[in-house]
Amino acid sequence: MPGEDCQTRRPRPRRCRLALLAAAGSLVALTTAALAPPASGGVPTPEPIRVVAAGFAGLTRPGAWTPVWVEVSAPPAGIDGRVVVESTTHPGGATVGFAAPVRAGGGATVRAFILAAIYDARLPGTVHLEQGGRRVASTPIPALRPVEGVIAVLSAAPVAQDLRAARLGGLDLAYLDPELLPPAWQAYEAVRLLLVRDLDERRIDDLRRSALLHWVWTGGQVAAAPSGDATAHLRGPTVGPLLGMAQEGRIGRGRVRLVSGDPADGATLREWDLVMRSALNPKPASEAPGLGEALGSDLPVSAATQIWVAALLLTYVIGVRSVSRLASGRFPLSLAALIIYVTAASLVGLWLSGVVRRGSEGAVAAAVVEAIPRTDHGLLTLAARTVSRERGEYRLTTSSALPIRPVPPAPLLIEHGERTAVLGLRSGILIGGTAVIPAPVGGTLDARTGAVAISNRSGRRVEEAWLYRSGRVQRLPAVPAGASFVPDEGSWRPVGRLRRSDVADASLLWAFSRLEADDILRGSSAWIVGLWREPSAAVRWDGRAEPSRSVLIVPLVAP
Amino acid sequence: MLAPDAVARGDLRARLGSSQGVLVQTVYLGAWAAFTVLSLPAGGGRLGLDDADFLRFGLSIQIVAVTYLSSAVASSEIAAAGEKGVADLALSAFSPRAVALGKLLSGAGYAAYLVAVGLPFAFLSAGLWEFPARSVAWAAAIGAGAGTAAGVWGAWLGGRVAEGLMRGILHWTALLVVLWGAYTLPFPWSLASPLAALDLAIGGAPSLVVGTSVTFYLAAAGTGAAFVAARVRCLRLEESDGQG
Repeated sequence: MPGEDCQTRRPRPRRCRLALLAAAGSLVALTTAALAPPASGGVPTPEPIRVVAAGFAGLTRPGAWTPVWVEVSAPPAGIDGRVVVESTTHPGGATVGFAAPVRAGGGATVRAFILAAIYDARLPGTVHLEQGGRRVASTPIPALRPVEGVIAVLSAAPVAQDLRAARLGGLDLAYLDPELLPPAWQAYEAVRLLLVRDLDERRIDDLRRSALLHWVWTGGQVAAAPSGDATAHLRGPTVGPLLGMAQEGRIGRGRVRLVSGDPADGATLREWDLVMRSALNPKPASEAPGLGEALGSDLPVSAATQIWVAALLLTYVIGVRSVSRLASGRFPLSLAALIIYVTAASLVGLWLSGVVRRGSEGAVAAAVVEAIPRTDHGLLTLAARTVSRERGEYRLTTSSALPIRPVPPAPLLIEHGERTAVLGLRSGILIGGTAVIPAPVGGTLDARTGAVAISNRSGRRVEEAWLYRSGRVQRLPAVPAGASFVPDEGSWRPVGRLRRSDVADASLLWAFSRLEADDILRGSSAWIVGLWREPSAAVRWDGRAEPSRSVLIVPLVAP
Repeated sequence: MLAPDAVARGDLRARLGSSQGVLVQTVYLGAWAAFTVLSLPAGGGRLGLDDADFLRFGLSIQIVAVTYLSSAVASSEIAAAGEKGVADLALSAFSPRAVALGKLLSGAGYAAYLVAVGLPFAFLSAGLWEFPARSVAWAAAIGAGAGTAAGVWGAWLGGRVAEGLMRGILHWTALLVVLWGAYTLPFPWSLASPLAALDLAIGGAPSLVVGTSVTFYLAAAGTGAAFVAARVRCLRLEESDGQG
């Protein structure tokens, strides 16, 4: 009522205030109950995704390929999607996504392996579960510990003194379950040495054995030792073949050593010291250095397209001459003719620009295959640079055997599935990857007679073949299935005097320059270098096959 | 309004229909076509331009060409057979105002024509190099505005200086002053140069700023038309004084 004195209002009774408090409490309780997830009969609902392991027992080398194991619990309807590991270089930096497909029936729990590059060990990133293009769950990867390198150990008991010498070199030991050995050899990138002290062969499959073998071929080091009196694991299907294949301890670029005693055994101290010293030496770089930088940054428009563009522009210019004369006559009519002609030509111009743009988008790629002696395999290194006009997302695909990552890190999503697919937007991103592929090509050089013997069982011709030795090269005829010859001493040419016009492909010049500088290849004194077609190095851009030719490098070994 | 229309139609008929006029367009478009083909991505483009350079360079060529051709044809530096200059029209029955408006219309029409026939190249480049459509539209407006002003002032110069060599020197000097000299001035005086206005348009300057510069060119064209009318009156006075 207007004019009512507020001071004269009667105080509420105490009982009324209690009722009000009770009502408010009930409201809060009801709201909390409504917002809480529904109880499922007392049975805890499993998390949709869980990071089982990342790195090697929590260790990683920043930027290196890192194994990430994720457990996915499928909902009742099952799941058919992918697991994405998102790794960021630093807060606010580029985020790179690494994805692997995941499929499971209703209620099943599956373990997915994702090969990812972790750039910031302390903030390794996030794992997402995606289905139908929608994120259904996410979980952070626990912080990892950055190290220079890892000594991976398969041993039930701690190794004596934890190989203290290794720790001094910035390495650390990671005790692994055999199940957590990566099924892709690239994931061993941070591993300097795998020490096998005991191994339950039932806990390791052929995929992991094959990955281990490929890692050794590309430069990995394995040391195997008995565990007390137990030596069965040294004869098993994992270590046994490695020890059998090794010649003077070497397989391909790698090394396998059998140490006669336990690290705790003082009698083998010298042997272990030798093993540790070699582990302290970094594993030779498996990716061809400088290959990406040698790539161009643009894709030329084909000559046919250029001729078409020139012809259409010329036609237009000639047409303008007629329209101009017409425009000088009756004005309303001529104006209409001019508008129609210019509009039509502008539309053709727009269409033409699309044709040219599509022709000048894609990937500039180069690949190198280096034969690994006495393995009938080779190490394939691919480098590619994206060239896009920044109109929508592109999709670049390569062989599934070739995991890809951006170098340096750049915003991309990389799917490792039936094919390796790279999804991105930006132009000029350099990507690279390595794979072990069949390459039954080899050669020998007899140091006494100088005779070179080449064996090529690939079924493919090695074109533009050159013989390289000590900074000099000489051109060879096409390398057939098998050939033996003595190089002509008068045909040698210094590499430094070769011009771009002397070789069929600029990547050959890159290969010659690397042979002099690359420590990996110093094990040999001569090489065959040539071009060949390697299907595993094929790159497709939005479904279109990009032209590719690989450089083949065959080290010549003693017969 | 029929008289200015007749003057403008006569000029445009000569500029578009005469063999010299057609040759001028062929050279203009041919140069642009050659530039476009040479700039296609072929290992960085034979001209070695990146996208931003191409945008700036291509549209600058268009504006310089339109400005030059408009003034050169109007001042009779490039003689289009059948075109009547201000001096000729001063002897006709057309009023000074009709001559001035006619020259303004023919200048605007010719500049708009040159910009229009260049549009397919602009669209090809826009699609190829991801030009923002806004830049292409502003370049067209700047080219048409500057070409109109150049056409009117060229017509005035043709009526003011009868001697060919002196007229040529003055014409080129004026072009250099407007296109390059004004370009070196600090903002906002640099906007007197259409190339500076183009830079602003490409750089994403507010439409008000670029629009102001276009308005300035149109105002310059209007001022030029007033000078043309004054020149016609002067010529008639001189003619009547001579007869007297």
